[in-house]
Amino acid sequence: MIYLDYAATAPLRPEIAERMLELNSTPLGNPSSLHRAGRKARMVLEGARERCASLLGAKVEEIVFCSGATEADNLAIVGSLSHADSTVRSLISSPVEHAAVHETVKRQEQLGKEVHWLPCDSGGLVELERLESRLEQSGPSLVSVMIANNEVGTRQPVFEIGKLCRQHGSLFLADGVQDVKTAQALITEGAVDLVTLSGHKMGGLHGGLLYVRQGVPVNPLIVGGSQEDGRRAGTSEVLRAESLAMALERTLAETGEEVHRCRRVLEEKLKKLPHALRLGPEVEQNRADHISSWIFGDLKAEPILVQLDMKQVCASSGSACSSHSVEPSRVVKEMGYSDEQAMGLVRFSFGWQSTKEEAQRAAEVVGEVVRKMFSKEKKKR
Amino acid sequence: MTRVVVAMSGGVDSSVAAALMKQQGHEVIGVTMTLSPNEESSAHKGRGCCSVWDVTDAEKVAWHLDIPHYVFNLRDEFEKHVINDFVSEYEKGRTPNPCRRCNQHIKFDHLLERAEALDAEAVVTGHYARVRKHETEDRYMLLRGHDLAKDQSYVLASLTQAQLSKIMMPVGMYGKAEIRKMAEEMGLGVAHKKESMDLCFIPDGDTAGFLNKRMKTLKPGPIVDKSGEKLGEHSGLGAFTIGQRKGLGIATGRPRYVLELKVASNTLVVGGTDDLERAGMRVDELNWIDPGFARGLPGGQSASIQYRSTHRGAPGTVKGTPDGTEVSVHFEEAQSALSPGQAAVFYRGEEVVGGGTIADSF
Repeated sequence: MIYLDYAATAPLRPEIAERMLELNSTPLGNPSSLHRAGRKARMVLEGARERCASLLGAKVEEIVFCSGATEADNLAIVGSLSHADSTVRSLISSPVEHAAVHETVKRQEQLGKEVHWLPCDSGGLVELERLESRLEQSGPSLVSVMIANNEVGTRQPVFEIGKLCRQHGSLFLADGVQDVKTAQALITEGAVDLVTLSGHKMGGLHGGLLYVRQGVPVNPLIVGGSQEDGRRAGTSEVLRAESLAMALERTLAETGEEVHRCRRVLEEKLKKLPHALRLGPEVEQNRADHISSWIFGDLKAEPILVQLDMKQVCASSGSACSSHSVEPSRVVKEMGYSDEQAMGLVRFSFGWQSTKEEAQRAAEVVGEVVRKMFSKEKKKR
Repeated sequence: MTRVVVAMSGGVDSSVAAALMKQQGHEVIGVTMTLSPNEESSAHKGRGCCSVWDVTDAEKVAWHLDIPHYVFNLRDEFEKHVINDFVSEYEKGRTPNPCRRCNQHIKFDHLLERAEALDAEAVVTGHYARVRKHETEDRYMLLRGHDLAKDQSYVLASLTQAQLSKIMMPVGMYGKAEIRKMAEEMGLGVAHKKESMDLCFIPDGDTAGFLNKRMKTLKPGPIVDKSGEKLGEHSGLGAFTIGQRKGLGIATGRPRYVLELKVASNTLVVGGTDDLERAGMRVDELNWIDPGFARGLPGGQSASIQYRSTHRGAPGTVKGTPDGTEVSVHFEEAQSALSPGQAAVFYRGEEVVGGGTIADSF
């Protein structure tokens, strides 16, 4: 099997699996318990928090562990808007956010909050001038723009956005799930207020992290305990936290060169296919290293993905609903493409286990499938 | 060994169909089509067809059988070909049969096309009907299922020879009880799953409510008897069907049935059970599965004619021209409640020789 769907989830790193078993060799208690098993759990949890903080250039009290990045996005938006000390008057969001942000913002809009959607260009990049004029009109806002888009890999000008937000007294939320390194740089430079990360996209267990800059008030979404400094109730998830710290360590230590090479190898081949169109920005610096998204003429993604699966290649369309059927991509439509084109999005994404040989082989299989489909279409006409 | 696509709804019939194909040595690909409009969560409404939970049931069966399984999103096509037609037929005062439309335009048309893209040679379904190659003639036959209580050939009569040549219905050889028993023996979790009776896109069974939401032209009008005397008022011609007795909201001392829906004047005509009886009907949108039957139409062909899904056929004569756009049907005995919009299917013994849509009755 060739796995090219790291943007959806990554295989678990074996050393993390081993560590999970090792931690369970003696009872691992509830970190809130008084006894030695509880103490051990507490040390693992707080050790993980310390490592995450130091890796990201943050303080320990700025790290909130939760169930996943979706919860982290919800907590960041609803939690900061609903706090009594919040100065935020409106929400400003890019149109290409992950559903975790998009749907949360939409719900706030339904509840009567003032919401502004920024326009984006055909590569999915938000327009900075529009953000600036919006910020000037709206007063203190919460701005949500993801660092790298999960469907087409657009990397947004987040440092500039952070600067604009700072100048206008607004909060900046950056979903960092698809680009952990930039998330780290943003936090280290103090250019962001809220960042969300996901453990399983880095090869850890499921589990999320919300970075909250000190001084930014956040109300809990889940109540019933004072864990996570009162920002997220529920027995702290020790194993998830430890796994997230380990996955973060490894991801930040990797050069990313192999991933980049994989993408290049794949793209060299795919661009020669008939009617092949790569989506996302042209300029390399505006692209995430691991994502390559394509449309092949008027071919639908679904039969392509099924045939790839039958040939042992795992790829995906940008977004999957709960019934894992292919739906038109909202993000691609926002970028100005038609409904039909939005049904054609095929995404390949690489990660820690990917090799150049796999990329090469996958490109050949994609070529076979796409060429065959085009020749069948021709016969029909 | 041939590669086949099995349409798996998550129910027991199509699950066993998949298992039987696998047993026979075919390379089986399971596919579940999502058809009904998206809803936030269906859990509180009860599980209609193609809810997330049915997809999961189908996946579990596929995993158990060790076959790949995919979900095909056909919601747009279903909305366009089935739901829109369902609403507009009611708006015209006719009684649509959405399952038949779905078979014609979705299950076999789109699915066959997608199966071909996957190099599959046939589409397999869990229908209670049989498809068989004719012993001497170069054509395929569509036959009633062995289990007459479950037979679904009525909703399949619009299949063409080209489609029939690529369709298999292994369940049609068995009875429902046998199918459940096989499912149990094979360890399929859906062996005792409840059967879906309602229309898949109206899981709560409230057809009138569904039409109320969708119809633009629904407005109150008079209920009259045959002589034109006003008996009451209806709230909209919407969900009335010829032969319907319940829900008329008039009290006349004896049972009244819907005789006719006059769309132009928004009038509902009612009468006694005798008034419902008709000697025959005109049928259009024809499809002939046996061309031999069609050739004999000018002289009149005897057949058993089924005009409702729960009915089992009445003898009569079908007359017309082989390539004409309509035929006339004369029953041996008068029949009750022939509803325009419903399918009329012609049987010779257990074989479906052709069918069409009821245009009107006389």
